[in-house]
Amino acid sequence: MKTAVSLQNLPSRIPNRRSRVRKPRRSRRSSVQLDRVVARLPSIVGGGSVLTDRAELVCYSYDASCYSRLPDVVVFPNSSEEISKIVRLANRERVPVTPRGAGTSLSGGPVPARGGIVVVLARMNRILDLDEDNLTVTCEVGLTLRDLNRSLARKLLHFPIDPGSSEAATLGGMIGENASGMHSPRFGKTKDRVLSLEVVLPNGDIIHVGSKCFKSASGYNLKELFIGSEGTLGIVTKATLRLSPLPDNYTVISASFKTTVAAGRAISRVVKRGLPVSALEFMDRPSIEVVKAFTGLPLPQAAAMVLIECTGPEGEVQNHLADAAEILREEGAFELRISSDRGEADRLWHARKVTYGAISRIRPTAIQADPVVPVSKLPDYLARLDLIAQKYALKIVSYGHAADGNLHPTVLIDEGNPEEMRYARMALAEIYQSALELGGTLTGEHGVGVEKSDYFNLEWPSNVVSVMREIKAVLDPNNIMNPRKWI
Amino acid sequence: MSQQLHRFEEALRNCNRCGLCHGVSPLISVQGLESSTARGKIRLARSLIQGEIEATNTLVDRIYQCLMCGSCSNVCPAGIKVEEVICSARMRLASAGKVPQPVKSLVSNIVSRGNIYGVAVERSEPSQERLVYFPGCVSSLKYRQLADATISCLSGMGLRVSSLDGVCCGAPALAAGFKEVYEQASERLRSMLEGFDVVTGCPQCYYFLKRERISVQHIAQLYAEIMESRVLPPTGGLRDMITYADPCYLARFSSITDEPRAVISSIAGLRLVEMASNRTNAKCCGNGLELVQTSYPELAGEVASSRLGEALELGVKKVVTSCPHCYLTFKNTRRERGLPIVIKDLSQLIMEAYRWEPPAKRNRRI
Repeated sequence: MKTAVSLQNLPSRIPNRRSRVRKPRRSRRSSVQLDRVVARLPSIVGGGSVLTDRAELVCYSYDASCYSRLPDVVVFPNSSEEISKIVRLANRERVPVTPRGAGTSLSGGPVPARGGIVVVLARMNRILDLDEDNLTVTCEVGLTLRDLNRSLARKLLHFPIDPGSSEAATLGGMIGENASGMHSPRFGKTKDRVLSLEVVLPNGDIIHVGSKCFKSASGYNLKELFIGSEGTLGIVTKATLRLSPLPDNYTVISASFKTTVAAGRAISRVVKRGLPVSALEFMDRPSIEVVKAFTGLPLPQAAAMVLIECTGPEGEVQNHLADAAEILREEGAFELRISSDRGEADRLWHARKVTYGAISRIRPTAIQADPVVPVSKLPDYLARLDLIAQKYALKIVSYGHAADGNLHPTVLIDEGNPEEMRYARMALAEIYQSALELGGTLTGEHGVGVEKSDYFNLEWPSNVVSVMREIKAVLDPNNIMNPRKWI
Repeated sequence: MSQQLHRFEEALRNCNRCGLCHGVSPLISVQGLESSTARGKIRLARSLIQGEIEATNTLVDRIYQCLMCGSCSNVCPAGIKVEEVICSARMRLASAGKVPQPVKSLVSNIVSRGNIYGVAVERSEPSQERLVYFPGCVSSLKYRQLADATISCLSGMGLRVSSLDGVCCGAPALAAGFKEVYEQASERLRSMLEGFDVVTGCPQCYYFLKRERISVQHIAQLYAEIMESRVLPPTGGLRDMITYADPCYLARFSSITDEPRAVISSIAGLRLVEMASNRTNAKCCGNGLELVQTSYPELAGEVASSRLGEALELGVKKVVTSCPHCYLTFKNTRRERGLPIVIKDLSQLIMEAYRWEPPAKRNRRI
């Protein structure tokens, strides 16, 4: 029986030029300090809100990636003030703090890489203010996206960022990782929809950044500093979000291709044409097959499938889809299917959303990458992915948000097989290296976490990393916030 | 390696912790713990087997608190049958003697008396009737009015039936991790029921009798069949707005969702409104094959309260179910929490609609 990949087994960091910048201090703690923290926590949150039983701790050692590490204690605060007290205590005793939402991250972001306290925000799940006039909502970030949208649906509104984990993900997790999803071509990423934040800093101070207004040029954009910071700079506790009316009309066109490269060319041309698509997704053959097996949907027998959604007035939608269909056909699409029926379109999107969960039907261990390349480079990148899979004789499944050039090449192995694991690491390094060579970036929406920390220095030169480290050192001089990650 | 062990280990490997089970877990909304979810419980089972953790009381509680309702299996993209994983984990715990005391007592009752309550039941000579009514433990021994209502309905519909009272189908023993006890119970049942057609009002008995290849129908199926094919006297009508709570083992495990609704719709004056979660997506009542109800009654009550809350949100005053276990847990919760809602079994609803009387006490058993 295998174990999840423990952090101790990670490959050593990829060498990089030695940075001369000031590093945040490495937090060194003794068991006495930890014991003092554990003993004090019940007085802050109440005894029923602190877990130390090993059986409970195991359940907060992981996320949806394959990394895990036991925390020393898990705590469930009910307010920002309680979080402030927890963090102040931890800072004084130099005990690491890792915030956690639902633990659906794919990068190891909420894995407590140095143990310490896991702060679960699930109980902070209230909607504080719904401003229908300005289409904004203010809520505590332990709220799940699903619960928020169920509540908003009564007002025909929604928060339109839709990651694959939307049934469980919390707003805090989405903000921490700057999540996006299938509808980012129309609605953007989490950062585009967050207007303001309440954050508890590592010293326990509670600050408010951003503005409820739709634009603000007042001072440094501290709000965006915290979005996507993966809990390394503080704990986001409340957020004001920008909403959208629920779309009343959408049509999905699905196209089948004989090669992934042809699909990539079609995607690139659709984006170049500037068609106002609300979603443009790519799936390769293995991902089509596993989703078909799970959902029973009549998906095509094809090397690749492209899904395009348009929303808006019916006439406009039909015109845009006709343009898209023309491009798809010219690039070799052999089967085009239009789903105007809302139920059918929703089933297609659901199928696409559950792809990650379903691919473990192929092999038990999935290590999912999240690179982004310029859309024009997609055909080239897809060809490179094929070559990497062949070179290491590995199964690599690819699907993703093609309009953004954001793919999720997923290496499928059995982590109990050390040989496969070694090849998987080499393949992942090439997957990221190739994306960077094409002008891409390591991660589009999953964050760096543990999973990509070894490749972080491939993307960023030391003078950029040093700026990040300086920022970290100013806000978190004792390095207690989510330590031993990429920063 | 046995097939079951192989499937168990495969399931432990195949969970890639995608978290879709979070969204449907009936426990997480009341416990708020990761260990409430299928993902958490699978991880616990895996850690236990790998020797990373010991079978502490907390671990035993978390594994035995699973309702085995199939909600998570229903959405699991990896195709993991979570209730099978839990069953295997419980077998391991049971073989190490790590079982909650109420569960031990319940299984011991099945062994000693043949039912979960440990009540000695007299049995008369085998029946001459071909159709046997199998009420299961709850309807036989706890809420006799459910069995009486069913017999009354069957009689009103012109069917002659004998009743096999106080006999457990063995499902709670299997769910508790005592496979041998289940196998003995099902073997006994197979010999007792051979050559008979069986009808039961209990979805769990239905599912497990069917699994043992016994000719069985759920009462909702039989009612629907009769109401469609025979002319029954006109009902008095009920003039009520009700909702129907799909039992897990009837809807999710056996795909029987239309029949009870057809029966309800056939009663004049009744208006059926659906809860937010219904049919194969219905939330569990919290009973957990009587194991959770017996060992963790407060937890069962919390889950049932959440389920009944869905009904109350609709503004209905009456919830109908077709499962004695749901009936029991709903009744307890309604009483303990003073909820303004009436709980009815499908048979009680029909008996009320047709103004049929409960049967006389004699000639009820075989």
